[in-house]
Amino acid sequence: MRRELMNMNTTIRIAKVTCEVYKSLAPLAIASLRKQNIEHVHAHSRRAVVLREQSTFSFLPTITGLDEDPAEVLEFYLPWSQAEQVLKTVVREVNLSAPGRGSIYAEEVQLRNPEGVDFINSNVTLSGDAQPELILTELASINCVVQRGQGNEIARHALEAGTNVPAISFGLGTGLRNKLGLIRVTIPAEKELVNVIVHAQDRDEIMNALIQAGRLDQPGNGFIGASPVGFGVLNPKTFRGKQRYSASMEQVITAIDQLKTGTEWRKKTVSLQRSDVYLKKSFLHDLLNMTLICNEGKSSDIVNAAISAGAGGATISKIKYSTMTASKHAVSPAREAISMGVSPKSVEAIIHAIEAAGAFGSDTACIVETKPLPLACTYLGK
Amino acid sequence: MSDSKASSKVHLTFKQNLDMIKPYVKKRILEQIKSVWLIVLYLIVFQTLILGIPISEASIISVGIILVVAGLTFFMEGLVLGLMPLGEIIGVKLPQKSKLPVILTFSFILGMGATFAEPAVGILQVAGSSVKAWDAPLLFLLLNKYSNYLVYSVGIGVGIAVVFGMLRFLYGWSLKPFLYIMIPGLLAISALAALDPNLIYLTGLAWDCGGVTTGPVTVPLVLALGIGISRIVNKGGDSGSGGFGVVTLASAFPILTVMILGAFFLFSVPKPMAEADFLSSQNRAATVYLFSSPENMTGYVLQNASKNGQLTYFNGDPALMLSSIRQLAQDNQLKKAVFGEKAEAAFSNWALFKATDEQKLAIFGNAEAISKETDRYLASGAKGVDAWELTVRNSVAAVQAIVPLCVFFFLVLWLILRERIPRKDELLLGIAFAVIGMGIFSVGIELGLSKLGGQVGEKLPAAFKSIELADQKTVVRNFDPAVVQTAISDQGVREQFFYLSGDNRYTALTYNPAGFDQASRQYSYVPKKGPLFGATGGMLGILVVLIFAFIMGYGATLAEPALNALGLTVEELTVGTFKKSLLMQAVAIGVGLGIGLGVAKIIWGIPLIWLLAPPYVLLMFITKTCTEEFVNIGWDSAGVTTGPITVPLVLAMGLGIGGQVGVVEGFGILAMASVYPILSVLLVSLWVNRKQKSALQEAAAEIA
Repeated sequence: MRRELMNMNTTIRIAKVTCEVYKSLAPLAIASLRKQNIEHVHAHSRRAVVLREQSTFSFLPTITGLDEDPAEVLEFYLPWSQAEQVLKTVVREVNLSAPGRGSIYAEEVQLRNPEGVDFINSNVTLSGDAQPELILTELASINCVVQRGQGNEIARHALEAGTNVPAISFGLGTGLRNKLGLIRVTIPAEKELVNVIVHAQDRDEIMNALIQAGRLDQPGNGFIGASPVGFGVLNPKTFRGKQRYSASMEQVITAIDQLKTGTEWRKKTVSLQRSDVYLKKSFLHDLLNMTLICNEGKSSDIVNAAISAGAGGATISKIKYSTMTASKHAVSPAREAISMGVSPKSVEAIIHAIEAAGAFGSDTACIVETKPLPLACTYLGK
Repeated sequence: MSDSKASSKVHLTFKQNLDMIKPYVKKRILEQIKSVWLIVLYLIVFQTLILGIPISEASIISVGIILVVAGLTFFMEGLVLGLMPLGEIIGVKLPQKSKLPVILTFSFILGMGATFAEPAVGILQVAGSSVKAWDAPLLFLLLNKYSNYLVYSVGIGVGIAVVFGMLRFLYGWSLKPFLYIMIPGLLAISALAALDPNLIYLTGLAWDCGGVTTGPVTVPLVLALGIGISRIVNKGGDSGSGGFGVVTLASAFPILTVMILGAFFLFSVPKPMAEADFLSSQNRAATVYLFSSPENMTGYVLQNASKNGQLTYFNGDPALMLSSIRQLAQDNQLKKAVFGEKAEAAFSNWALFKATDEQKLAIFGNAEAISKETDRYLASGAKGVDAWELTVRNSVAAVQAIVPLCVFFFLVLWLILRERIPRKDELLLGIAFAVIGMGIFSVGIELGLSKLGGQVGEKLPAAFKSIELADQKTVVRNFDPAVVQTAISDQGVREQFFYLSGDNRYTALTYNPAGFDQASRQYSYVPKKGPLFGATGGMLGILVVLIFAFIMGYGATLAEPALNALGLTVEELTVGTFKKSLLMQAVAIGVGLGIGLGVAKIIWGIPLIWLLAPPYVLLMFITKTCTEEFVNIGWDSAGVTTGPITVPLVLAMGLGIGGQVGVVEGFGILAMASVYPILSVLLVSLWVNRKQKSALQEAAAEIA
């Protein structure tokens, strides 16, 4: 039943590809997508965070600070079967296999299109010569929602746990807030969304580290969840500063990846500690991540409908929809993405509720994207 | 679907509500204290410790400062909750639902409306209050008789600017070509204007108009509108953090429209001339054009012209003058025509303090009547601040500045866009906060900051020259010149002095015969101060003044609400990579530099164009190398700097110094405070860009 509801327009497997590059490389990435006839793209800005060794005076000990740079995120849906080739072409054309430029990865999602518009890019022009780019597989995307201002702290802990470059975007939290009267203005709604892609084997440990860093199992501190990512190329350039060896760590890693033709060797060998065992118990299992992308201004209606049908709370961020080709679409470029962690049982009810709220009409043009959220954590009350 | 379903609504107890409000209010008040404390503390420390002059009306000023903090707290929250979301909603909806002509008409009305709503002309009138009609007739005409034309022309300029701003967003035009054409064009016009004795005075006004018109309501609204429109434009893939640049255009176009207005009236006004020529009856036909009526001119002459000038005005006939004045004192109708609205107060003030002895006698009859009238007037004037009048006036101004624009926005949403407004209650709360906040902080500024700034500004020249402390003026009634004694110095120079008793001690005071008024038998004296640093006109003293000007500009800028709004927006759109604090520091340092140089302009009488042209020319080159995003942000910072906190402080200081060193007008400092922040922000952005580029190059080098 759920499958039917979700893939109303199509029965093929859908991939959502996320390409995140430093801002000055965005035109290169966009050109590559345009060349491959990727028509529907949702874009937003993030800031990529890396460690920076700061040496003010030579006699002082060096401190490690954070460097924050603007990054552009381009997301698009396409048939799963074509995702790998498109991704490889972008990697080659934007030179993402070189560390320090950006990352690109594909997740399998289920998608429901609004009436009249198909956001799946099915007419992709595949470039013939697929080169053997080194692609990582079995990844996981960790997403963490914290209060505005806490994002860097989470990102720093992720970096210190040895992840690839994390990125932060802005959003607005809603949930209990919406149920209050005007007094809601006293609750800060501004959130930061920290995203980092890790190897599936390292997922639990890094999540534990981040839960501890942000005390996310305590009330009012936020939410963390991890969902599987099929494959991708990540940005391991997490450190800027003096280079003490003839090759940088990133170069060494890339070289070993190529020698071993894979990244299995990178698995962290840290054993679980006692506190992690305690934390394991507070994990939520087998939720779904539901992302609703609708026209700007409609999110409060949709969130209200979703919450009345059983969703707990949501994070809303502003994104921009673009058609790469000249063809005109009725869909507004100003869009909002609503992200929620929901129980699989309530998906159907939520979709019905938002449909009743007019989500799939041309005025709202809401996309429903779901993907598994096998592991999550937040404060669940006493 | 309603925003908040009654069934799902959570009800909180009063105590729970209070517990939520407390941290919310505390955080916001602390934020505002953080932005205001520097400038307040600085002014107080400077006046009391460095100049060594006590602060008069300290209690009123401290109430004013508390009001400024409270007002800013409300106003900023109002901007974030109400005005900016409203602007953004319109920006997103308008291009989707209406055609280009509607968008452009809306933009033009918004620009004009914003100018009329925040009439900065009052500020400009203050800046030009010391301009004498004979020194700069055209400037005088536009600031007084035709001040409404001045407002219209600025309004049209801002309207055109918003239209072009929106066109830019809709068609993705770069800001750079606009700058490359407009700035050199405006500089050229200003340089040409310097050839005409009338227009040269107008340039300062024109350049200041641009900066002054973009106030704390206009800037956030226009920014939000621009962000909304940029979000709706498909730029082919980019998430496009646009929305800036309108403020820049809104600062530039009014310069042009004001200069055009000046050119239009140029041939109707007489050339600048000496006071005597201006007031002589041969030139009357030409000069009376500057005034709304011949009576109005009489009033102006009586209040502003010198003794000889007044005599010239009455055809050199003292009897005619005295009889005219006698008639004036008796005819209330005439009094109103001559002295304007508050005729009675203005007349008394003039008659008692500015009129010559003969004129006084003509009005009051004899010396006793004069001293009685003086007592009565002083007693009635000692009431202090009229709190009610102040509150009402500023509340009305706040409502005028915000409500009509918001009503216009709501009407457009309802009638043209037929859009249901999301989170209406929040928007309305925000607008209410903004109105309340603006009312409170305007009162606070009037009571606190601008008073404090005025006191310091007036006394600042004491650093390099001797000045009179007018607010410590003392009047000795029934003075008898017989008590005056003579002292002698070791060089044999004789000096007259007398003893003043009071507070159980006798103070020796220098006797200045000019301070004794034979008619009222009063001796008034004004204490003197300075030069505090080095000799009169010495470099050390001037340096102290320039450093003071820099720090004052810096501190005042950090408290500006429009700049805070810009900083928030920039931080939001760059996802925190361009921090609000970095932008504000850069702008504040730029403003400080600009104001320092503006003061230098006044002290040394440097022509404005010399100080404006070099930075603008330099900016043309820097603009070329900067990215579009930063060019927009950098140039916009120029327009937001001159807001309700900086302007009164800067003007008070500019006029204070100008008055002490004797210059015609206090214009131009604000224009200086606009150009230097652009420079500092663009330099910071170059540095940021370089850092980002070198990080990418580091990565690129590793590939090779």
